[in-house]
Amino acid sequence: MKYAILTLKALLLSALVFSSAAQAEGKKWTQITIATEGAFKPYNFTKPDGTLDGYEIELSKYLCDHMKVECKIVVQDFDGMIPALNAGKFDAIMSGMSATAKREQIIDFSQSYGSTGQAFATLKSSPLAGMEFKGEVFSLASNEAGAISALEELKPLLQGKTIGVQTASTGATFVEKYLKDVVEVREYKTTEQHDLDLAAGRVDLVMASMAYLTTSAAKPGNEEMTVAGPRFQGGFLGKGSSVGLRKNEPELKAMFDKAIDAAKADGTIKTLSQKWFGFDVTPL
Amino acid sequence: MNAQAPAITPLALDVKDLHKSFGNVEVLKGISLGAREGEVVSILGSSGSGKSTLLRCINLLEVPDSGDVTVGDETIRMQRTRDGKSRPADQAQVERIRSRLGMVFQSFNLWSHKTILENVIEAPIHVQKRPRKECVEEAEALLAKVGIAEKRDQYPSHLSGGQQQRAAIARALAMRPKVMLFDEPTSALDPELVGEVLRVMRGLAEEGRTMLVVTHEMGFARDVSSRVVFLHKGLVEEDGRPEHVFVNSKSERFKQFIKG
Amino acid sequence: MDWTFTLETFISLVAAIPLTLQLAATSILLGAFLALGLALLRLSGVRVLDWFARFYVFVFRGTPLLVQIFLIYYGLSQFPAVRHTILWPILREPYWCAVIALTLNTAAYASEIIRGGLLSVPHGQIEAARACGMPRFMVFRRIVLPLALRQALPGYGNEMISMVKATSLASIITLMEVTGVAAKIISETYRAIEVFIVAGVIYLTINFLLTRLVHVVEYMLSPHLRAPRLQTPVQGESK
Repeated sequence: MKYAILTLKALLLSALVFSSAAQAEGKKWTQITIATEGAFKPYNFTKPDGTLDGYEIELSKYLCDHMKVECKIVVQDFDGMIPALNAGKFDAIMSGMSATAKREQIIDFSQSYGSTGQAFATLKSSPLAGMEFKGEVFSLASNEAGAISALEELKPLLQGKTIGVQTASTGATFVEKYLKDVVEVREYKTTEQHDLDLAAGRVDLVMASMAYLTTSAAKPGNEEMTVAGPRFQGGFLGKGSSVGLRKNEPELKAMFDKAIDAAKADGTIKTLSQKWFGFDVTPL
Repeated sequence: MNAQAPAITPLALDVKDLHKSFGNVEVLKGISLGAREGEVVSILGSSGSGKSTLLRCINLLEVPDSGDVTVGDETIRMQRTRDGKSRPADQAQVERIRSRLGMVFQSFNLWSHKTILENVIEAPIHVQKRPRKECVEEAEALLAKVGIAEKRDQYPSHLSGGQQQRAAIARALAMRPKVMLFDEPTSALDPELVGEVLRVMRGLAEEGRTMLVVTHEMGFARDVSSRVVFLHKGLVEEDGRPEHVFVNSKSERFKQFIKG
Repeated sequence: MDWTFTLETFISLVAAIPLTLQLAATSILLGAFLALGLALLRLSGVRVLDWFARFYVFVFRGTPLLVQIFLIYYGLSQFPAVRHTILWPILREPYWCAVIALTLNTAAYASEIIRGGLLSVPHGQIEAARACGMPRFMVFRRIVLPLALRQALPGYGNEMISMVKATSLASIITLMEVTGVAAKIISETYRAIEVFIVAGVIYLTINFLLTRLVHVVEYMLSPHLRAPRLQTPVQGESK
């Protein structure tokens, strides 16, 4: 009887240890369950036959191969993902989730594996379409000085123009911070509304997330719209999409970070992002 | 004390063969009536006889179907519309002639948003384009004449019916009209207020003003007017000097009417 | 309640009051002229004009102002033809689009108020004016309109208050009037209660002052509806 109680205690204890943070030192991961929404194209989505596909699905295969673990991908609603991760239902989140300060209070994040950043769009007929630094990416985290000097070069061209942004978006914050003195800012409730006014010629350019702008420019009726000039990421624009992990699982975080480093280094992220986004989302 | 109509004065107003129908009802069936300068003509008749319509046709508040109205030496020109109705050919002429006819209504019709003085000077200033100062002086004199000088800055709603009607008379006089038209001026008044209005009208008659008065006041017709016209069913039934017609009219209907 | 934040919000929103007032005043003024025109069409006795005005009122009273603003701002700009007209410099501006939408909308309501005022003018007073030889337009200007406006003023006051509130919809076409600024602050801070309370207080204050103003105008224009002034004899300086 005494023995039985001890066994029960040990079982309970090990269950607690397993589901909570305190992993035993040097735990070898052989199996990882990754959650994704399955409805956030092009990051992840469910194909008509029920299988998953997308940037994160392909990337996760590469990462798992690199980490030499067996991965299982489960579909989960985005809303309940963080509580479910902490409840131990799965081990990692790869679902276009940005590493924001608020989320970082509750869970851990790997380094970013994709940052679309903020970009400008204008009309093909506009003189702004040929803006300098086309396609160049500046990180506000590692190279803010470079970003500022690029913007300084663009200012004569932007002088007196009207720019549309979504209210309270990171784009709005960016314009407020760096371009306030040369452009007139107009704020919209939705990004679709500033697209309409760009087409109508009421604004000369818009600033929004690069992912949004490329999708929007591809929509029928928006043929005149084109992404122009440099792109910005990092800093207050956010770290970009990262793998969400339970706190105090440093081994797993280290494994993902290492694998992402490899994916960046050998060009996998670049290749996959060209395939899925049409541009490079490699974080700087 | 009848005002003596001078034997030969020119016609101030001449109405010839006036016809007017409302729908199928013919109200005026060919009325001819002249008023010489200085004449006071009382128009009598039971209700429905057409006496108010006659007055309203004279200043074209109603448009007659046919017939001529001449004020002074100017005849109102009429024309036929395509649907056969009659209408004035020249609206400016109508307005000119109206300004020579002072109209006093049964229900006063003072402009309620203007003070008594403003009521009196409104048309002289804006229609006749006379200088304001002159109009105000004349208006004050007229208000004194009708006995309500102290009411000049009050609004119509603050006055009694008799005072309002006297103000309306002053308003009509301010246009310096050739002929004054009174449309049952005392009918809407409480009996005790009738006298003050009739006194003013009697005063005007004595001044030698040309007046056409539609009235039920037999006393006024008998004592003040120089002529009495009795209408019956849209036609002139009796027309003559009051001392004559009130005594020996040949019209049975008129005799019936004055017996009340 | 966070008083520092509330005060900051208040300062930001106060800066937006001029635009709110400008939108309201411009559209109320332009709308009044349009409304008068519509009311006159209704009363013209010409069937085509009457029905045009009826249809106008039906359309603009029967559709939400929000939809009207969207149609005028985003709708018209969809047509390249519109963008090439002489009107585009006006329609290009969110401010004028808001003014146009508010004007067209208020004109529909106000025309009914003015029509009621015109119908309330006693016929005898009009006849008296005609009998004085006043030309038609003078009768209208000197007698009918002043009487009609006095009658319409209380109802028109309500419409003006509605218009002040309606300007808040201009925020959806990027205008940073009081509600626009409030919405911006909320989406940046997620603190709706303080911001909306401050915005509400501002609208309440504007409309309180507007109501008082309408009352004063009403009082000044209606001496004939009040008891007569007492005619007190002037007292001499000496005893």
